[in-house]
Formats: sequence, structure tokens, C-alpha cells
Amino acid sequence: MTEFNQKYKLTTNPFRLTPATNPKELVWAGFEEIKVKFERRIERSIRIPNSTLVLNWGEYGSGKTHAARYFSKSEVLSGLASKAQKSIPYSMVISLPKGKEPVYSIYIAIIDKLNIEDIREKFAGKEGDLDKFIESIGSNIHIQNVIKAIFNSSIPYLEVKKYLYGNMNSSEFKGLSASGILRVLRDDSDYSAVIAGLFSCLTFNKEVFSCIIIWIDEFEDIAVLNNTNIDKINNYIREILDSVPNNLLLFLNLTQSALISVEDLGQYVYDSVRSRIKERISFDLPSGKVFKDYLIHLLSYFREGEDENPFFPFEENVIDRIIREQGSASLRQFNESLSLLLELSDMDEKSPIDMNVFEEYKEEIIWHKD
Amino acid sequence: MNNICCLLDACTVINLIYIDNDDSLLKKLSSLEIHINDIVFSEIRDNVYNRILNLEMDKYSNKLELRQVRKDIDQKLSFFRGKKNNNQELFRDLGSDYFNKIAELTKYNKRTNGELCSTAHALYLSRMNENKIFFYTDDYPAKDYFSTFFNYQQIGHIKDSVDLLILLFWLDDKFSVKMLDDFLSELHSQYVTQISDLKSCLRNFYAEKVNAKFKREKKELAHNITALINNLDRMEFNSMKLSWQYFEKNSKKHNEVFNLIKNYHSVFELEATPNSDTLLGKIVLTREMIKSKKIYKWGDICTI
Repeated sequence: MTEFNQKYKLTTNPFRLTPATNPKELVWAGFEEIKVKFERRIERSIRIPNSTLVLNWGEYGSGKTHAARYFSKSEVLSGLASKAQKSIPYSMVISLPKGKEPVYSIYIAIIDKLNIEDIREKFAGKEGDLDKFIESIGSNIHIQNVIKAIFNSSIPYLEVKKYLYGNMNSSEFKGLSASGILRVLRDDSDYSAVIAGLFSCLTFNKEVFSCIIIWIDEFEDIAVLNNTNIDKINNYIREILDSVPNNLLLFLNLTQSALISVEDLGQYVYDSVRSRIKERISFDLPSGKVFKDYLIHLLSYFREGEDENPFFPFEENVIDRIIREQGSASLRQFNESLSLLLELSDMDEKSPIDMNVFEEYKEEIIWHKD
Repeated sequence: MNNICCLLDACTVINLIYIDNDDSLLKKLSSLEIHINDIVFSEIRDNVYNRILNLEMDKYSNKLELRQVRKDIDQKLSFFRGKKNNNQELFRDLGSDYFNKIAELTKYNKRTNGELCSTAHALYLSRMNENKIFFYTDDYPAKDYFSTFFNYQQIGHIKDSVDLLILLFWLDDKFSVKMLDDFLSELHSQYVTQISDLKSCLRNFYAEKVNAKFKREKKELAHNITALINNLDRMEFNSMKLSWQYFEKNSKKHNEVFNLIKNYHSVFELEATPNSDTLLGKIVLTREMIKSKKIYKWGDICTI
């Protein structure tokens, strides 16, 4: 049995169906126009003090989650930051929570990703200025002390993390009283204030981090929330944009379905939030040409050795046929068909993948809308 | 207490438990004469925690809060336990094969379930008390199936949770339109959350497991998963009944998928026949209508 990489001149099957989590496999292929839109938007936030809300919308499988993960990669962000000659953004991807307490869930998701040790290292030597800045944020001394504790290296970072999670028992909690932390965090306004304060500090003078980028994935789930939680989400977004007015870039990823389309957004997102949407980036279904460009680009990332056919192991007429058969389909559906075609050919030791091979597997690989 | 006699089905009780965040609905329900069949209560007990199982698995949920949610469910359950009718009295009067006789009479060929027992129970209550019975169920196919029997036998009416909320609204002066809208919004959220969760469970399963080998070996299963995902996406609930039948029939063979979907059974009960009304459609329409068209209470009819 011939090895996969020898047979197909590819390191692995490039058509993954779940967004890659390994940064090395997280590549951007084709779709140059959308890529430039994101690059420009992120660069603008790195350079200019402002807070912006951007809506990304498209069908399921059109690449929104992939974009979120790709543009959260540190090397991609460093590239954009050095182009702008500024520091790197602090970026993260979270999913819109569906539970009973959305603000708490967002708070925990952000704390989960907070590397206190790393942050303290990056802010070493700046604590004095930062403390003064923290004292200028709002009037809640308790919250100010909590934020100071995050940056204060004399308090063990695990204790701070435990406190932020609300997991401290009473004897451990006493250890924080010298830092002015005398009560637990207990409601949405506490959680929002801590996150807003933290973001403001991280982007203090745009020195360590130039801006905060938050991608809220699965934002379409706002349509499954009840009145109270729709209220909470809207207020939270508004509050966080108001509290971090200079350095926040918020992307909302919205998948259209029968439950919600971009036109229905008004029912769920209040005017006060909607009016702050500065740009809408649409992930359209790819045309044949766009898909072929993407494919050449993608295969080149995974190419082992060389081949004069940029579509190898597929013959170009097979790709054209798949595009015709699928009609207007999402990128995921194209990927799924090609992934199956490649796997089936591999199982039966067939290479290259020409029209005969395609005809044999056609029924198994074409994504039927019905 | 008024003399409105209500018989509640499991899905309706579970919905009431989940949408009543501050026990205010339970208090309002006390004004009605409520009955729950013994078999229905067993179904409630077996399924009432299903909706928080996913939340309990979610690492971003507040676990302390969820423990409280469980406690609240238990408390509400004890209210409904008090409304449970022991079938012993019914069997003593009519014989232990009474439910089977009604199943034959109505040509109901599914297993003895809550909807069948409630229908039989409603007939018993109506004749014994010489009263009309309101049977509340959110299982639209069952509602559709037993309506003819209810009408012909003049037992009363089969209604759903939206109707029950409207009844409670006009019975209570303090029940505001905003409160009614909030309960309807919560009810809508209960169903669409389940639709969204089921869809994402199936999509994850598909992305992780359905490769070429899977498709070749389990072609029919792969096809049924895709069909169910597409129907969930388009919210075509009637077509989903076929998926349920397939997975239920093959529950042993494909138990991984069946175990995944069985917690979302109520999603498969949203539509009775193709293009007929759905509970979700009714909720949306009612929320729209109450904004402009008043539902009259006693105090309002003098001002018509």
C-alpha cells in the first residue's frame, strides 16, 4: 500500500471539517478580499484609539470561525502590529453563551484565557504608572483593588486566579484582605467592571498591547435567548464598548439560519448596540473561480514535492465538475466533498483522481441539499 | 378557585417548570383545578432534568447557580406531585385494562404513554364530574391525533402551553402583558435552545466521525444524520418525525446517535402535519398580537 504523502504529494488531508486548533495547520487560503478587510480593520484598531463593532455574517461553514482563529494567531497579529509599528493586540475567541447567566459565562471564558504570569512579566516595571491609572478607573475601590492584584507580582498568581473564579475558601480569602479585597465578586456589574478594568489596563497607553480583539462566535444564538438574557447581552456589549472606549475591537460572528438572518438582527440587537456596528463583512458563497483559487492556495500549503498540476491529486476537470454539481454551496460543503473523495480514493489506492474515479464515488461525495 | 378543570401533559409541566423563574406561575396555577395522570408524572420525573444536563456539562456555566436550578426544579416538582392522580381509583372503577381499551378505541398503536393515559383520564374525569376538561399538551402530533376523539366524545378541548398562559393571564388582574410576553419569550427560548443544541451536537458528531469509512459502512445512518441537520436548520419539524422514527427503530444499532437525540424529544413534537401550525409559530404570532390586540380581563370588558 502506497503511503498517502507519496501517492498524493500532500502532507495530510487538507480539507478539515472542524476548524484547526493547531496554529501550524491554521492557514489562510484564497479569499484575498475578505482577508484584506480583516487586516485593514485590525490594523486600524492597532493604530488608532477607538472602539469598534464589526458584524461578520454568512452561512454555516463559510469560514467565520476559521477567520476568528486565524486572526487570533500570534504570528498573524505580530505581523500586523509590526506593519503598524505598534505592540501586538490581545485577542481571544469566545462563543456566545446560551445558559442562564450569559455575563458570568463570558467573564469565565475571558478569565480562562487570562495568563496572569505572562501578563505580569510583560508589565514588569510599569506597575507604578498602572496603579495610578487603575485608581482613575471608575469609583469602585474594591474593583480597583482586584485589578491591581492581577498585576501585582507579590500576590501568588494562582490565588488571584482562584479569587477571580470565585473558588476561594474563607481562610484563603483572608490572605487577600491586605490588598483591600474584602468581598467576593458576586453579580454581573462586578464581572463587567473587572473585565472592563482589565481591558483598559492591558491596553494602557497602547504600550504592551495595542488593543483588545474579542471575537464572539455563534452570535446567532442570541435568537435562542429569552427577553432577560437578550437584555443582558445588549447591555453588556454596550457597557464594555463604553468602558473601553479607545482600544476594543469586537467581532460578532453571525451564522444565518431559518431562526435568524442578518435582517432579523434588529429584533435581538438594540439600536444602542446596532448603531455602533462600523462594518459588516459578508462571507459569501464562493464562486467557481474563487473556490479554484482557494484550492490551489490550500493545496500548496500541504504540498510535498512538486507537480505541474496545481490541483494534484485532482484533475482540474474533476474540480470543475464538482463545482457544477454542487451549485451554490458553502466552503464547508466543497471541503467535505473533496475530503471524502480523497479518503475514498486513498482507501481504494486510486491516484490521480480523474473523472473515472469521480464518477465511481459521485453518489457518496456530492452534498445533497435535500 | 374557579371550576376550570385542567389535565396537564408531561411536556407542558416541564415547560412550566422551566419558564417559571420566580414561582409566580405556580401561584397562578393554584387557581385552577389541576390533574396529572400517574403515568404522565413518571414521564415528568424521568425527563425534567434533561434540559440542564447540557448546561451542567458546559464549563462556562455557573455550577453553583445550576445546583440552585436543580433545587428549584425539585421544589416545583413537589407542587406538581401534589396534583398527581393515582390510577388505582380509576382502575378500580373501570378495570386495569382501561387504557388499553381506549388505545383500541382510538386506534392508537404507540406504546401506552402520557398522551394516551391523559386522554383516557380526561374521559373519566368528564363523565365522573360532569364537566368539560381542558387537556394541555405541547405534543402537537398527539394533540392532532386525539382531537377528533375529544370532539366527538365532547370531553372538552386539547390546548397547549400558550393557551394555558393566556388563560392564567386573564384570570389574574396582576398578570401584566409584559409578564405574559416574558413567559412566552422564555417558552420560545426553551424550544429554540434545544433545536440549536441538538443541531450543534449533530454537526459536531458529523464533523468528528463521518469520514469516508463511516459513510461507506453506515451509509443510511450518515444520510439520516444529514437529513436531520438540514431539517433542523430549516426548522422543518414535520419532516423530522421520519428521522425520529428511523433512530428509534435503530436505537440499539446506532445507540450513540439515539442517545444523543433522545434528550431532545420535544423538538420532534412541534408540528403535527406538513405545513400545519407549530408551537413555535404560535408563540411568535401571539407575542406579536398581544402588542396590538388586547386580551380582555374582567376589569376590561366594561371599557370595550
